[in-house]
Amino acid sequence: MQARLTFKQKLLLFLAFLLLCVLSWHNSALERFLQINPTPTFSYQLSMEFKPNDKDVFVATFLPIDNPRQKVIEETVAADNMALQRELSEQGDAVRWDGDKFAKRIHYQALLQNKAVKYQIDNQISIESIDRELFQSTLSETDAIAVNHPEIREAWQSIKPASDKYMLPVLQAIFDYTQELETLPFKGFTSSLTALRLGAASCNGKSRLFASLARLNGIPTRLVGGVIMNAGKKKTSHQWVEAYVLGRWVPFDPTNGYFAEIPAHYLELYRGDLALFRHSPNIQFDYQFITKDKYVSPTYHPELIDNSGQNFNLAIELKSFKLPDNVITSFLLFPFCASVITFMRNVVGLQTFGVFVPLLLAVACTYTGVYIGLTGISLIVVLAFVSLKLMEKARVLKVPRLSATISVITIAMLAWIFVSDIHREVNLAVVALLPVVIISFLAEKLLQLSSEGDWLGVVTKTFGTLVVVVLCYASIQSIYLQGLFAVFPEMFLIVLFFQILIGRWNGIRLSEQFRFKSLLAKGEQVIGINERNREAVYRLNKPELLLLASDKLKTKAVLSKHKIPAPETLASCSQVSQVKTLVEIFETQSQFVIKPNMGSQGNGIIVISKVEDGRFYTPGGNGFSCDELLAHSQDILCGTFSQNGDIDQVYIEPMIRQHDVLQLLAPSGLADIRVIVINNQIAAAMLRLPTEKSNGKANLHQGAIGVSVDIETGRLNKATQKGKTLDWHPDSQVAFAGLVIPDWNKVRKISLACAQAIPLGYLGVDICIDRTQGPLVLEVNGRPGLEIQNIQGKSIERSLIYQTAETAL
Amino acid sequence: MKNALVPVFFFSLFGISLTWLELNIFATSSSVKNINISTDAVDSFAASEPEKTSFPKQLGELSKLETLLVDKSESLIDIQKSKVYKSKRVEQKHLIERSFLKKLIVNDDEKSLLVAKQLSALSPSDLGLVFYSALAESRHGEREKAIELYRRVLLLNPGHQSSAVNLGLLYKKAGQLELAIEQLKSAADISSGSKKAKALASVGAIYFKQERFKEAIDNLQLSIQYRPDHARSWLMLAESMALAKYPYLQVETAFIRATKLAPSEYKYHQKLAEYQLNSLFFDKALSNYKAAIELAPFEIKSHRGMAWALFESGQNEQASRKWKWLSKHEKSRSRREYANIFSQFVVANKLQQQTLAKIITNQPLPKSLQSDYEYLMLIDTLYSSAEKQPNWDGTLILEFNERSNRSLLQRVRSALFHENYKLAQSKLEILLKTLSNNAEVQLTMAKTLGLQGLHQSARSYLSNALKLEPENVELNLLMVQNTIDRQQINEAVEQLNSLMQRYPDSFEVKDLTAELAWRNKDWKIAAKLYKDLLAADGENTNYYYRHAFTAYQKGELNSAKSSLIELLDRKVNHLPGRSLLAQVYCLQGEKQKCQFEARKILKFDSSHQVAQELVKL
Repeated sequence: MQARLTFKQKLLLFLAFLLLCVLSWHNSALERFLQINPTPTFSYQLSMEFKPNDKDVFVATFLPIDNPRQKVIEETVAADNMALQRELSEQGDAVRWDGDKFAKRIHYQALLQNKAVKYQIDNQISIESIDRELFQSTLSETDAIAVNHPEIREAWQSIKPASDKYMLPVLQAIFDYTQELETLPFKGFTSSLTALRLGAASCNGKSRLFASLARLNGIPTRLVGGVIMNAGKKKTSHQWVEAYVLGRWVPFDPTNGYFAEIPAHYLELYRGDLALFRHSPNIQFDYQFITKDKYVSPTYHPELIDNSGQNFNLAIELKSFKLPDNVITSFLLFPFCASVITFMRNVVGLQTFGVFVPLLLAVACTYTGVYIGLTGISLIVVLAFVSLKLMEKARVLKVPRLSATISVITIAMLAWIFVSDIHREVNLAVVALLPVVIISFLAEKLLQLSSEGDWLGVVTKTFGTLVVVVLCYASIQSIYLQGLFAVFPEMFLIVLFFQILIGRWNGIRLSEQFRFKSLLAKGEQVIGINERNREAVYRLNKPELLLLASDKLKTKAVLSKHKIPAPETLASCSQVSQVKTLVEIFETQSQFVIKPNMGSQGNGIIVISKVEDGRFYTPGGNGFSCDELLAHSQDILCGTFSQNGDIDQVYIEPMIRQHDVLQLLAPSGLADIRVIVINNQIAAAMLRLPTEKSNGKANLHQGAIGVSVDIETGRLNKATQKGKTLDWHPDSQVAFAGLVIPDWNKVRKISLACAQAIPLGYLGVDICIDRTQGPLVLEVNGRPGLEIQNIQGKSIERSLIYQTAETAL
Repeated sequence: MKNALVPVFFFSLFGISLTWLELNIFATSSSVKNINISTDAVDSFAASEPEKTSFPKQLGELSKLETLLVDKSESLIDIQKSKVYKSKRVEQKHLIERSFLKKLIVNDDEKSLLVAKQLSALSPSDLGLVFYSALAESRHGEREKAIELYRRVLLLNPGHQSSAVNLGLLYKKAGQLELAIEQLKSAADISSGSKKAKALASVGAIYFKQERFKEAIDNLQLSIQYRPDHARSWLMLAESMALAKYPYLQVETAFIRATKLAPSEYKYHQKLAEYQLNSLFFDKALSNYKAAIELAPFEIKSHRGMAWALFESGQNEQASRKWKWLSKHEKSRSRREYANIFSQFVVANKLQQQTLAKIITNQPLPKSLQSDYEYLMLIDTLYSSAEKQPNWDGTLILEFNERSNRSLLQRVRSALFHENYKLAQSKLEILLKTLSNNAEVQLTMAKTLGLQGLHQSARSYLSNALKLEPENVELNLLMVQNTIDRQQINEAVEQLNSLMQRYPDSFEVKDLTAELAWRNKDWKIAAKLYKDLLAADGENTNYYYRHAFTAYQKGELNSAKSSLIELLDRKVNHLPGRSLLAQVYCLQGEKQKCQFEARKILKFDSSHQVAQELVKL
């Protein structure tokens, strides 16, 4: 036999491969690594809205320009029904949109990289005499900037420094004076004289006054307008001033106290005493800036990287296909997120709604932001839940119920988008991307869990889903990861390796550490789900046999062939159109059970124990009409209770009257015995007793009692209900001690016979004991749960799973 | 058996590291670029300037030729006949016509209405023309027509700012104030810049008229934000604040800003002065009345105000002269007569009863003079020397809204005059509720309390006054005096030392310092200070004596003798001085002179013990 590689050997191979990758890239590895470091940028958005009133309209403004301290990395403009003219001049990047009466809004967005600059002015620099003609526009008086006015002169006389021939003290004196003026939120035009007279001004007044005083001293000065990019929405622009000092235009902002410096978050838009916006009159023009600082991965913006063309970069390659950045990041990080999900499920043990549904939700959140996204998802789930619940009450069938719910959610979302302002920030493509269908599916699952009263399941799955969504979102948004996967494509292989590693890991999940903590504390070699699935189910059970086991009707047929007793099938139906044929059974039988063929955990089963006045009653006293039973049958056929949601079959069995001993013990429902058979040997057995708490179902998660059974004698041992040890049944008050399962030997024989009839290497046989017919097989389970270990207080015998063909019995 | 602890630990470690990195992102570039500018530094960071280009001509603007055409033309026909006009496209032609119409309206030309009608007939749906027609109608007094036209514009274009504002103003003129408010508010909502400011200011003006001052203030403040250089808005804001009893400084600031924005308008100074007068800031009121008078010398109200300000600040002579001037320049006869009465009253501080009776019986008092007259009556009654307790509830004594602070102050002064300190204190407490930032009021309260021996309480008011006027020497000295009155001598000495440093040339500071040194028997300092004081005031006999005494104490007998001789030259009967001189002579061995002086003393006072003993020597 060919020798298989051990895991260590595989690991070494992988590391060798990795080393090869690193060596082949070694020259540029460091360079590429440095490119991962995030770069600070600013996101700048300008939204303008107006009402043309049946006339042509124009809007003009200034857009950000490139200069040594300011770089436009990327920009987009959206202006339907408008033509754009753009002109670069010494004043700035002037743009003008001309539109027709259908034009309504303009949206501009840019990503900018700005630097802070600070100037140190030598105090020996004298105020130079300059060519006044060349600097005429920056020295002369205007309507707004008085220079030779007596009041300006008087003001200068009161503040001029001793050394008024030097640049630095003069500028300092002017700066200090204008800075000390009271800052008032004036939105209107303020000339320098007005600012002087009021002793107060906003940024434009202070800047003009600065210019007045500086020009009076022969220093060329110009106004600069722009926006301060601190995070948030605003409607105010800002103005500061630049003075010409030895060939440089040095910035001063007396409003915010910046002397000869300009911080990075100042965005320059124009130079000169100009208005930022011009537009047609009477169009109710409104505008808003939205700015925020953000860090981006330079790997997505070649303009931010020196020698960007020399290194391979997946992000840039994908950008050539005109894909937006967030689509690229999601795509590149899918494998990583899938690893995260796999880890959380298989190692941590978190349960979620759907396996990769959280990933899709996380992607949606990248468009909306995590808070809006999660809130939206939660609201949609609640809305869908309510809608489904109402439709369930109205007995709408499953598929139409789901499609109607989708319509309800879509209508609600459209209403929300139009009513709120959110449409400005949220890409409406999200509505198409947003898995509304997936969410409806989530809601359906939620409904099912809540109908079963499995609130713990609701909470744990919701929590698990939210955690995974957040982790995936954080991964997609991680700038370091974005960069890493863009410039190091070999990372995908590493991720793949880890995914396989996780897949081959048999260890106890973190959640199982808590679930089986008492057994682990005793040193038991507990078998967890991973080991069960890998070593028991996948290794010992053939897929076709697993499929057979999940089909109860087929299982019954096979068992019948092998003369293994099972409840009789009174009727079955596989099509909705034939469901009315079941009425005959309803009319002729007074005690029967309606069951889904592919159901699990007792879901969808209705037990009818008596008929009175045309109504059918369960042992718990719930009454159904014939139509209601038919509707339930239809639901079963639609797949409401099937394990994978597929279309199902419904069948009817006679109601089992269980053995007196068991009836005495658990009067509220049908008790069953779960026998685990591994490699044709009985490994463990437990008795499952329904309670009122479990609504008459023998479901341990819903509150049924699990009683450990001695596999040799059939004697009952320890009884546990949700982790709590019991000495007697809480409903019947019958003590467990000393009781023996009736017909235990027969039970054993039947279990082993099932293992032969359906040759699964690892299976669980559920057997009930009818008072007249004796033990009957209810179902054969190809993936029996592991809670039996907690019930019996010891782990399943591991050697049974790992025995070879030679050592098997 | 493998468990999840180790993998979870490494996963968590990875997650935490990544989170930490994300939260502490390091910038790829340095945070600030520093650039040195000096005469020898070379730097390549200077911004490169692109070539200058011009903007494309904006639609809706006239060219120079077109503007010239509009300016020069006298009629529409002139325009329509010109070559410049004929060569244009239809839209530009309309623009020229509209600009011409606008020019006529702005110049209040009679032809504007006719031209508006002509153009409207040609283009009835042109909203711009409808607007100008409305404007023309309104200028011609056709208010209803104008309203109708503005409404039409707004129906077709609800965002037409000028129409919205003008319509509101028309409602205001028509007296439909609530409608005007509603219209102007909606105009403000759709407008921007100066139009918005105008609308808001107009709303403020309406509220002001309705005496809804809070709403007026809100609207005016907002208006000012959009039009900060509008002096009228600042003035109305100040007036509203004053009437709404806003704090003095806030109101004064608004008034001052209004005056600064309209430096050549006397009315602004006048209103500010009036407010300051009623707020008991008499000096400030005087300077502003003066400024108002300089700008408008024959504006009588300013002179009247100034007269009152002079009177209130205690400059009665000047007040009398001012009223004398008014008695010649007032326009109405009754005012001239009363000015004459006032000019006499303020000097005599007492009305001649007969004159008063004659005035009352002979002619009715004009309403405009009522309050002046009654105020005068109040003062007269308050200061009546006929009785210690003036008749506070007399029929002539009224509370004047506009003078309540002043009448209260008069009551305080009168109470102090009659030594009724408790009453003065109670009135001052009322004043201080609204005028806590008036140093004079604070000082008066301090003095009143001081007179009652409540020095500790007086101190807090003095401190308040000093905070308001920290450079006021008198206040500083009063504070020192208060410290002395509270027997905190060391503290007083420290305060005086500090004042001496701040005001080394202040006579009053030296005087008090000398006084304290004298009390403390600090002869050295006292001697020096009294010498300085004598240099400034060579007639003060008290200084001579104290200087002599301190010199005597220091053993400088000759210096003491010369001061005493100077003293006795000025005041022959200064017995302590003469006695000291006798003692000096005795100490110097001049027994004859000593006894001579002693005998002189005995002539004034035969029981003078020291003199008696000296004579027996």
